[in-house]
Amino acid sequence: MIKNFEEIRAKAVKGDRSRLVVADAAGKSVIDALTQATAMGMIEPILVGDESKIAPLVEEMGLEGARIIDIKDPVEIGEKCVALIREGEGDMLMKGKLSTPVLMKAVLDKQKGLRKGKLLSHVAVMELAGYPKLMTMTDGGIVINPDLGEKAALIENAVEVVRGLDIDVPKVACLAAIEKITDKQPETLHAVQLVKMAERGQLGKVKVEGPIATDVLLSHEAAKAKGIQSEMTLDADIVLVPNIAVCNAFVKGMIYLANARVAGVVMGAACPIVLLSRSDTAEVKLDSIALASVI
Amino acid sequence: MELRMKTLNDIIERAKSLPGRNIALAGAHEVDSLLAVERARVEGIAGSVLVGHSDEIEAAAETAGISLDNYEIVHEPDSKQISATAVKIIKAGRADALMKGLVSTADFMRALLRTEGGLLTAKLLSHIALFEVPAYSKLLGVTDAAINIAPTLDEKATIISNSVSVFQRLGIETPKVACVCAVEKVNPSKMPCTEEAAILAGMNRAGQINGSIVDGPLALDNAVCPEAAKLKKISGEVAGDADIILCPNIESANILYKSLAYLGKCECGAIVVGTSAPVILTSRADSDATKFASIALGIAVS
Repeated sequence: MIKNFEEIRAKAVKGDRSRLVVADAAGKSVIDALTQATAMGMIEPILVGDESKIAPLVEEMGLEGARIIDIKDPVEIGEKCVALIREGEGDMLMKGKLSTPVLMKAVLDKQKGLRKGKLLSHVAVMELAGYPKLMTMTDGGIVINPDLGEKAALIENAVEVVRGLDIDVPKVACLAAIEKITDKQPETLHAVQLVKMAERGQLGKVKVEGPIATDVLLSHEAAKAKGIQSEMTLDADIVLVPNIAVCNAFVKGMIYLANARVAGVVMGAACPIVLLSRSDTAEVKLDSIALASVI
Repeated sequence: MELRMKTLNDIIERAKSLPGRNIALAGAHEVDSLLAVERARVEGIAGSVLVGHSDEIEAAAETAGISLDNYEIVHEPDSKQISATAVKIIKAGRADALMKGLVSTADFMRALLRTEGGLLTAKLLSHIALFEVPAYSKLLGVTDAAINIAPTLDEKATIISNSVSVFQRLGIETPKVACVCAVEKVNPSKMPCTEEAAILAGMNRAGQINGSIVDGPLALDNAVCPEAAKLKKISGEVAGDADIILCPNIESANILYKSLAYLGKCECGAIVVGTSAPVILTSRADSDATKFASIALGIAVS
């Protein structure tokens, strides 16, 4: 089982280089991350975009072995990236400077896109000082207010990520404010339904528990005080969060208040998609590329 | 070791073992009802307090060929008040089970719910039938085929508790409840019954529904047939060994009830619970055996 980002990076370096298709790499920070990942032996970059803008950056940053495909039109860039994955010329996708809606439109195209799972979702992997293993959390980036069926798909997408972390039977905790089941807090209903779906084999090889409150997830003392014995306490691999607002706040709270080391990847398409934000540090960018390449 | 109630006769024997029980029969001026309580008296299950207009009761008794010497008659000349008077008899502790004779269902229900605060002790009334099914290893409870039309999640939780109390009264401490749907998998958005079943199972596991083991969704086959449960790889204690079948709504429960009764030729005893005293509500279409078993069930759990 992979327990931290150094191990993720090590696995990414050790395996074959993943062919990373980058949608419009004409940005300094993007090329910087790609240069590092390439130098470490993680990836083999395929840069789709305006060659006249990309080539000088590649030169400047010293990125070696990059293939550049010269396309200027944003829509065509998106389509070409998706086509490369479909044709087996690339293993994973990364958003560079291309706008997210343009890239997503190409990915989600019913005929020529990369639709595979029931939905696309964002999965964050966190390394936390107070948690003994990597915590994989979803969805703080894409699915706003998932219903039960969507939550089942979120779990399936997150499970694919943790398989890359060499976890055989992932433990999934469905987070809520309380452990009581009440229709006044619908996430508690979803949680028990997901537990049953897992029991009936509808979610694959996973162990699901919930509803579980954050204190019980993070502290044996809190669990004991509440009289709850849960194998999720300090041992859940995946934490399913009720909605985007809570998940986003949790992850960002961990980053800024608890110095969490975090990487993110979009799952549910035919390949992992690295979708970074401008505010992401170089470390986050590199960790995310490493994460995508071990999935 | 827990008791296993296998046949309606087990219920009848249990009723007989409880001494000095009485039924308050609301609207006793009806031949069928009089014949039913007479059989209960003769077989040593319970005596009856006959409530209604005494002249009419006497006339019906004569037609039925029953002597009224063995009965207390409470004369109630106002037909609209018969049910209320019967409820008052229960409230006063003079009878242990309430039975509906020839009174309007609306008056009966109103009295049941309102007279002197009514008899309701649970959040709602519910109906349960205990079937003797030759192909099954024990009595099988079916709920709710008669009262709750489209129960909500909370109402289903109460129906479970009501049904469980009946089994506990029969000596089965931890009955197994199967929340039955068309399939045993949770089908989000498309089959709401499967979603509710999973929640009920979760509530049971979380200690919010007690005194029972609840599982669901289960399809009827894997609820009552161990081989079917095994084939579908459904673990848990309920699958293949359910005591109580909670149906998703009145239609499915009614169809299950009538399939067993008319196609399977199974007899049952049925009562209404959720009250301080069991309520015996037989229908004219019921067989004599079912009427008798229903009275016995009412007394056995009183």
